[in-house]
Amino acid sequence: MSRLSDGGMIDRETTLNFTFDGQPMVGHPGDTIASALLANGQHLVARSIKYHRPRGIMSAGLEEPSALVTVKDETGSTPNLKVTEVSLRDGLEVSSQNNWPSLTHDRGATLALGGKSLSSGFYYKTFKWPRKAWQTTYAPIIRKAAGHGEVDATPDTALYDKRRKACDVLVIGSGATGLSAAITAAQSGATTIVLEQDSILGGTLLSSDATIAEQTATHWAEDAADALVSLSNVTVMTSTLAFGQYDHGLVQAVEQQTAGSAARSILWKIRAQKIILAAGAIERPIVFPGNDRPGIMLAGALQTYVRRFAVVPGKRAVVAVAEPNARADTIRALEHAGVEIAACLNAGDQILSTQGRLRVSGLTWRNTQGHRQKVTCDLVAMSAGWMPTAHLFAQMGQPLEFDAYTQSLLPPQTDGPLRPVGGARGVLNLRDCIADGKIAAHQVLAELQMHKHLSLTPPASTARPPQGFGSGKGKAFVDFQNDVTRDDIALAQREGYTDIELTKRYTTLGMGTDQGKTSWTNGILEIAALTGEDPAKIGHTTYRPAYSPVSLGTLIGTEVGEQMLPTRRTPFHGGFEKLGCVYQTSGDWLYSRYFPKAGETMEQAITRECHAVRRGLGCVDMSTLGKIDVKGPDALEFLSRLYCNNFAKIKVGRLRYALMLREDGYVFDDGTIARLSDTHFMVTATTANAGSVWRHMRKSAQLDWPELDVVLTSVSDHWASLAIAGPHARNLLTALNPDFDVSRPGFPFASVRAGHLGGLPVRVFSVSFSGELSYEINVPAGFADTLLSRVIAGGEQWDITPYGLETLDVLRIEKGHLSIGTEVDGRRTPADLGLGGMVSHTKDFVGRALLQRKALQKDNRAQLVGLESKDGATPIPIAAHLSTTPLGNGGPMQTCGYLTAAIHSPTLDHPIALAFLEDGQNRTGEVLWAHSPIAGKSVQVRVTAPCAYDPKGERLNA
Amino acid sequence: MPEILRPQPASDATGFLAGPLGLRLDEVFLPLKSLSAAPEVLDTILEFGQVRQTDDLLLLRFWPDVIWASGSLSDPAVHVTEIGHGTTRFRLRGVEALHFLSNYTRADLFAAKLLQARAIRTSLNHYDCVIWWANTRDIHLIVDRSVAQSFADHLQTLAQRHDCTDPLTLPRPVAPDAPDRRG
Amino acid sequence: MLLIPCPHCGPRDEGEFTYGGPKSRLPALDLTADTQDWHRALHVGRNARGPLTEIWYHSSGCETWIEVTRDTATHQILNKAKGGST
Repeated sequence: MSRLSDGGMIDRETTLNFTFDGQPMVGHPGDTIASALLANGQHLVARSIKYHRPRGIMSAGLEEPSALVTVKDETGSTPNLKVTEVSLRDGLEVSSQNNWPSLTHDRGATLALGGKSLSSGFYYKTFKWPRKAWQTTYAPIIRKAAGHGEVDATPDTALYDKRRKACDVLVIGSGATGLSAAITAAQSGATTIVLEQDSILGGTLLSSDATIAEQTATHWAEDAADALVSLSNVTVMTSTLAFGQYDHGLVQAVEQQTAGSAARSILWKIRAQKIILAAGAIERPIVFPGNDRPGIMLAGALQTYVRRFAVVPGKRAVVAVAEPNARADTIRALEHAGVEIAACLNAGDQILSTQGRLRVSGLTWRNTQGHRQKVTCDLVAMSAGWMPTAHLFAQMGQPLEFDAYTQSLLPPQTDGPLRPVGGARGVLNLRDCIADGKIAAHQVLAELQMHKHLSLTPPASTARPPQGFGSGKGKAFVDFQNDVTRDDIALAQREGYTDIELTKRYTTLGMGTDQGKTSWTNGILEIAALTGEDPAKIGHTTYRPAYSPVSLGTLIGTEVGEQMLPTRRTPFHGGFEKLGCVYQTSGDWLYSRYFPKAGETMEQAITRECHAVRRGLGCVDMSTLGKIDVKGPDALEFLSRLYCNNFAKIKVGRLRYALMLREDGYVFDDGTIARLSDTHFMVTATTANAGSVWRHMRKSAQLDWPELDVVLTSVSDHWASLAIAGPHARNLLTALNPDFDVSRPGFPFASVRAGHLGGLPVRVFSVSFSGELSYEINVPAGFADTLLSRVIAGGEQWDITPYGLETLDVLRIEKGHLSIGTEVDGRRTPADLGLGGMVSHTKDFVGRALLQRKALQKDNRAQLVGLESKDGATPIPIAAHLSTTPLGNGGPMQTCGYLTAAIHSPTLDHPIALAFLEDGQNRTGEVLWAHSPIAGKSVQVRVTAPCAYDPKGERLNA
Repeated sequence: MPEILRPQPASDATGFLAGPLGLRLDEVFLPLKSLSAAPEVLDTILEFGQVRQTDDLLLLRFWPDVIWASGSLSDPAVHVTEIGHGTTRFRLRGVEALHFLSNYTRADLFAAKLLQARAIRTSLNHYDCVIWWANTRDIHLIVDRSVAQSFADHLQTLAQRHDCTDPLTLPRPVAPDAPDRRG
Repeated sequence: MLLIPCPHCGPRDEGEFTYGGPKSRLPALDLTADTQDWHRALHVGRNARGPLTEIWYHSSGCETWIEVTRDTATHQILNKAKGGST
């Protein structure tokens, strides 16, 4: 075991067992998989995606590009997790990816020999020719050879959730800067949230041997954490990664819950007045040949493994760190771990190559005097400097600026809600970071008027040494995850893909799951060195959320299956269920579909229900329609302006069918307007448009005509609506004990009555969608059950048949009535629908002006017609297109219309359809072809009027 | 013969929600009327964003031009429309009740400006709702009747995702001037 | 997800609103406006990069249509919010 005998933030009392590629290993609480693997001496962890090069652990954070594994626990297995991001738990089965048959003997490595042909752009070049080869040859090979882990296809049983929080100040990151900012904000009374993606607070303080005010860095961090956790206006969230910034101070974060919690992870949407981004900085790798071997690590990561995890990472190390303080830190950490220092490179030295296959074994360089030197080693600590983790700032679109002083991309000054501080804006000195956090907190508190404004000067960002390390020739990796080398970038420049966006896509630099965290700055510097361009002018590509991959389960939360969206039920739902109703979802609603008797198929049920309505008595749920109560002295004027037909003379107790147009003249919705009193109306809208019509009416009343004295109330859910329909409808209505006259002269068609049925308060509307004598009984929704039982009991003597959406549709098709979405599809004028005569010529209404457009007034537009089979028997295929010619031999052909509905009419006992046909109103009697190439059917049809059954409407006045 | 008509419930919610939070959800009928008038007229009855509960009258004002009332007001300038059967009122009770809901409402129920009013109209995930409370442990919610069952099912689903609150984190000392978030 | 300043309810999450498009350049009924005026007002948009006055319906709040001036490039809301900075 490569573990120091004491120290480290691990619980040595408890041992955790796990496996790596089947091999048993041990670790402790406090370890990540990365630190546990290193403590077990496991440095080879992965194979790179393209060249299958042996790879190890380069970093200690989310920037890890190479060490991706699949982790299996009791809930299933998850691929592509970074060994640095997973806290060790007992029983984990960790497997390497992208290798066969094993990590140490990987056949894919032979691809490295064909290296030149796999350089950048090879995907693009192979796509071009021969074309078929992509599907048959290349894709299968590439899929097998290159890829990350495999997805677990077993159903995910974990629970997820999405939650919200709000606060005055959000602090992202809990290193020295973040803790300092958070304490300052909290002490002023601001509601403060601290997000830390690690499992404990402290950031790099946890791996530092510095002292702050005579305390060790770790103790300072612990005290700060304790102080925060004890304040009631502070919420500390660990294992919570802020992965994206959005408009107006919104941040999204993922909280990983501890094992045994009810939910596996939680997506947080946090709205903050001010956000302090104290996310620190990422160390920059050095680009030199062979810089990717296992054992070559970022210097800061090395310190983390030694100090925080008490790992001995090797026996003999080369230190390649140009900055003197960082070099001294690294050397102290190595000495603390008992690692021999084989060599310490100086700024200006030229690194020529590394040796070693499954682990680094040596390093060769040329010093500034020109002498070639070589040492054996099993560990290399490298650092070319630090790159501010300002990603959440850049996600809002404002670009970072390349700063020559710090040799990094820095966020510019901003007065937006999110402020990068500390390492995230290039401040690296510990004392400066503490000050920067405090000053930033004071600044935002002053802006929130929660604190007096203090004139404090923030510290300057920390300079980098003027010179780093040179490099020899050979495969020098810039992007480790996507195997992009210096030569690939040079190739892209030579071939003309010089714009940063083109270089990115041509080489795939920065396009891996690590989003180029360790590669982008080096990429820019490589391009600058090759082309002589100023790095500040090269720019960078777009930063997008998520900062690190977020599982789909987290993003979905509870929105799966029945919980995906709210479900609306009508007040008759329970009652119909008892009658054997089969339901279907339609939009938000659960609709009654049909009511099968024992042994019936759906078709048989529909036929029986249709016959019952046309010949006897049926009842159907109409509750889903939108219902709007309109009151006021200007109610009639208001409605007149919204609907295109004239009903100025509508009397109290009567109702009218009405057509509402959009501003552009097309039909928007239809419904009925019932007059309950001089100044009181009840308006219906279709189910699908209930919400839009309500909003449209509110807009008209509030914005367009505020001078009208009208009051709108949505009562869609208040009234349950049951229609009784059929020749016996009036008989049943009488049997329900009305306290008003229901005789034909007393209650004519197109009327409304308010009163009681056997004591139940009701409004009854004499309307018909089915074409039979029909009454829609509206009752307050809480009494729906009572009404239904009385209707079923009272209607039994006429064999009352409940029916649903299927039969409703069949009946309306037989009558040629319109349905939203099929006939009324947003492209039809009233005339197209055969309702041109309804349009008023004496009043102004919404849509009038644009309805006058020449194209909408042409008389040969596609118009609604009915169809029947020419032979009276062949079914007409649904969704067929109409043509004057038979189906050709596969080429394009002229069509003159298409079907909106097609059924076998139970009432007429032959196939009928509805369709839009060019100049349809002038083509009654014409024989056409109805073609459905998808169904493979072509049928000859004859054009009829849309209404196939009882065209004079005699059934209604029975 | 008109018997006394009791409105049927819109959901099957009565009793404890799943999970360890021990929250209780019950449906309680509320006979609401929608009172419409010009904002100036309504302002004399109840200010915008407020709830008032007296012994026999509940008033809710979340619209400039509408007050919801559990009884009638005899003001000729006011139009009255029955809406009580179209709305479903729930009562959520438990120590964590307001905290639980605030995880899911688009508006922050603990915002400083709600400390006085303790009432709001907002949405809880996909459900529009009116919410008011006298204390953080007893919350009233109103949703459309047609989504009442779906809403109750949804709260069940959400409750299952919670763990027992860590007793070590409550209660905590309150910094002077810090807003009290514990209700 | 924008934060939209409702003049009645204060700043609220965009999800509480329904978008109503740019504010109309013509009144809803105008017998003097001819078909061409209407066509231009409705279909020929300027789609400017910069401040746009648009209408939003506060469906999950006060159910009122409000006017918002939003910069289409930066999403900055240029209305004065109710109650000052919060």
